[in-house]
Amino acid sequence: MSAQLLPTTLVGSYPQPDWLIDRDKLAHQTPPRVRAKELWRVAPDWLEQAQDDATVLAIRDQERAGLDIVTDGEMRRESYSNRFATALDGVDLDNPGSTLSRSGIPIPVPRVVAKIRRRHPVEVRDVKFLRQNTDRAIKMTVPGPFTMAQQAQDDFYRDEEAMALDYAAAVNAEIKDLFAAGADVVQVDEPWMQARPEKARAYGIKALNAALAGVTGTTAVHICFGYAQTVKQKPAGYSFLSEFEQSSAGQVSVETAQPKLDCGQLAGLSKTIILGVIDLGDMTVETPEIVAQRIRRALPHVSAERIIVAPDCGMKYLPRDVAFAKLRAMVEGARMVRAEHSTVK
Amino acid sequence: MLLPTSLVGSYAQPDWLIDRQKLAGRFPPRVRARELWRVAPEHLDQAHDDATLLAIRDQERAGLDIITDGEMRRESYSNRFATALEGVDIDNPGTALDRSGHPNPVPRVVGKVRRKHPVQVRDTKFLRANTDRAIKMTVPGPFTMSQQAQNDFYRDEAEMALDYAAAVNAEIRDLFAAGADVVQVDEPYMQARPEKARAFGLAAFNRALDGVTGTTAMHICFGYAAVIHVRPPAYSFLPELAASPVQQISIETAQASLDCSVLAKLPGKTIILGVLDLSDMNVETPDTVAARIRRALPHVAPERIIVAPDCGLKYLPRDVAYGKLRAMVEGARMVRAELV
Repeated sequence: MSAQLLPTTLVGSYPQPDWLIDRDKLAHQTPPRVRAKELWRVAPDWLEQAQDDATVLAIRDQERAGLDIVTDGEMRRESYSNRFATALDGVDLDNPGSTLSRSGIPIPVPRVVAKIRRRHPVEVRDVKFLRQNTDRAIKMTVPGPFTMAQQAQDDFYRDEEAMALDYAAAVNAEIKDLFAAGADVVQVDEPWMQARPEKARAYGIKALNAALAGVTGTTAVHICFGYAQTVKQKPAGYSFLSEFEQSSAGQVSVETAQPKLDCGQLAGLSKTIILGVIDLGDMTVETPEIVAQRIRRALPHVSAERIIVAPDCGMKYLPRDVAFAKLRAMVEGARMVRAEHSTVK
Repeated sequence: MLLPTSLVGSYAQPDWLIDRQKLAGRFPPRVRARELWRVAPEHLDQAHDDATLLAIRDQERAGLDIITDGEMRRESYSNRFATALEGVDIDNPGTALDRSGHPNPVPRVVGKVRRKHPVQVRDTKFLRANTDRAIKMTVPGPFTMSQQAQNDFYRDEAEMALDYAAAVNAEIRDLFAAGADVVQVDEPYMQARPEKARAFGLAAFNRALDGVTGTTAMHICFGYAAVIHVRPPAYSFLPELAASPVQQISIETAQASLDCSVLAKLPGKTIILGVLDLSDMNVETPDTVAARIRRALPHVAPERIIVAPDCGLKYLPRDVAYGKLRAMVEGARMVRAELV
C-alpha cells in the first residue's frame, strides 16, 4: 500500500478546532460513552458542514506534515467510540447505565436492553468524504467489540461474551462497508484489552476475530494505556500484547514513547507494528533525532519493513500547533532512519 | 505560463462562520456588521484562519495559479479596511447612496482620514505561510471608499479621496513587505460614478500606487451579480486607466457579454479577464470558459491575460463556486493548448 519504508500515519484522532467543539469541557471529563451533544459549538443546522470543513483541515495538516496514510482526524466524534456505539440498535441512551472508567470512576454508558445490531452504516459517508479529499492512502477507525462491551451496561445478555460477539457482528458489517467505500486500512480500537487483560484473554481475541471475519482489506488493531491526558504513569510493558499474534489483524498499533516500552515485547509479534513514537503526555515537541531514536529502539525486534511510524495514541487532546509540530518531527525522524536504512542495504 | 488563473478576491464563506442568508439579503456592509458572524468573538480569529485555509485549499485543488485569502475575514471587500481607519465615526454612521441608488449606512468622516496601523499584514503573512503559490491581496480603493462615506469634515470629496489614498498607499507597501506577490485595489465605484472618477478618482487611485514597485492590479466592475442585476455591454470608465501606473486591470466580460474590443484601448496592461458569470448558478463548461477567453484574444495578446471570475465569489454557494473554478482552470488549459 505504501511503497516506501517506514511510512507515517496518525493513530486516529487529531485536535478539533475550538470554534467546533468546547475543547476545555472535553478535556475535563472522561471521554463520552453516550452522546455529549452539548460540547459542539456549532448549531445543529451547520454542524455537518463544520465537521466536514474541520475534516478537510485535518487532512490538510496531515498532508502538509508529510504523512503517508491519512485519517479523517475523527473530527465528527466526541470520542473515538461513542459515535459508532450510540448508533446501534439495542442500546438505551436516554436512560444510560453506568460502568467504571479505566481510571475507576463511574461514568454513564449505553445501557444494553436488547440484541445489539447495526441499523445502518455509520461511517460510510465519512470514508467517502475522506476518499474524495485526499489522494493519499486512507485509514478509518472503528471502536472494537471488546472495548464497546466494556463501555456498556449489560441489562440484556447477562453474558458479556455473547454481547461482545454481537458487537463484533455490527463492527464486521461496518468494516466491510468501509472497505467497499474506499478505505485502504481499517483500524479497530481496542484500548480496553490492555485495561482488562483477563477478560480480553477470555473472549477479546475471539470477538476481534469475529469482527474481522471474511474481511480481505488491510486491518489494524490499536491498544494503549489510555489517553496521556488522563493516564500519567504508564508501565513499561503491556499486560496484553503477544495475544494479538492469534488475531487476524494485519497491523498492531502500540505506544512506546510515553511508557518507554521495552520493545523486546514486540519480538513476539509477526504483525506489522504501528509504532507509537510521539509522547502525547509531553507538550514539548520532539526533535526529529528523538523520534529517530525511538524508531531505532524497535529495530532489533521488528524488521523495518514491518514498521509504520505513528504517535502513541490519538491526538485529540493536544493543542493544534503542538500536534502539527509533532507530526512534522515524526515525518522528519522517520526520514532520518529511512535514509540510514537504505545506505546500510 | 500563459493564461494563469486567479480569483478576483473573495471566495464563498462557510455557513458555520457567517450568516450567508442575512449577508445576501442586505447591501454589502460599509460599516461593521458583527452580528453576521456565527462564531463567538473569542474563537473568531481561529475560525477566520481556518476558513482561509479551506479557501486556499479549494483554490489549490481547483488548480489556480495565483491564490487569495478568499477574504474570509471580511463582511464586505471594503469595510474591514475602511472601518479600521482614523477619522471615521462608525458608531454614529452617516448615509450614502449605494450604486443601486438606495441609502446604506456608511462611515461618517469626522476628522482627517489616516491609517492607524497595518490592517491586512497579518492576513498576508498567514496566506504566505500557507501556500507555496503566488499570492494576491486585495484592498479597497481610495475613490470607492470616498463614495462609501459621508463627508462631514473635508472641503470636498477630492481632498478626502487623497487622504484615503495615502492610507491605502501605506497599506500596499506593507502588504508587499509582508510577502504579497500582487496587490489589487478594488475600485468598483469608478464604473458606477464615471464623472467623479474622471474628475478626481483616478488621481486618488494613482496616489495610492505612488512609489510602489510590486505588481499592482485594479478591479472595476458593474457590482455584485447578487445585488446589481442588469449589465450594460460596455464600461463607462475604462480607457482612462491606460494612463495609470497600475499593471493589471480586472474586468468582467462574462455576465455583461462585454464587447472585448474595448480592451485594445488598454495597451500594455495585463487584463484579469472575467470569464465566469456569477449570476448563473449553473457551472460553466470548460468549453464556455474557453470561448469567453477566445473572445478577448483578437484584442489582447495572450501573454497579457490572466483568467478569472467576473468578480468576487462571496455570494455563491460553495459547491457552485468550486465547480466554476474547476471549469475555469480547465477552460484556460484548453486555450493554452491551442496557443502553444
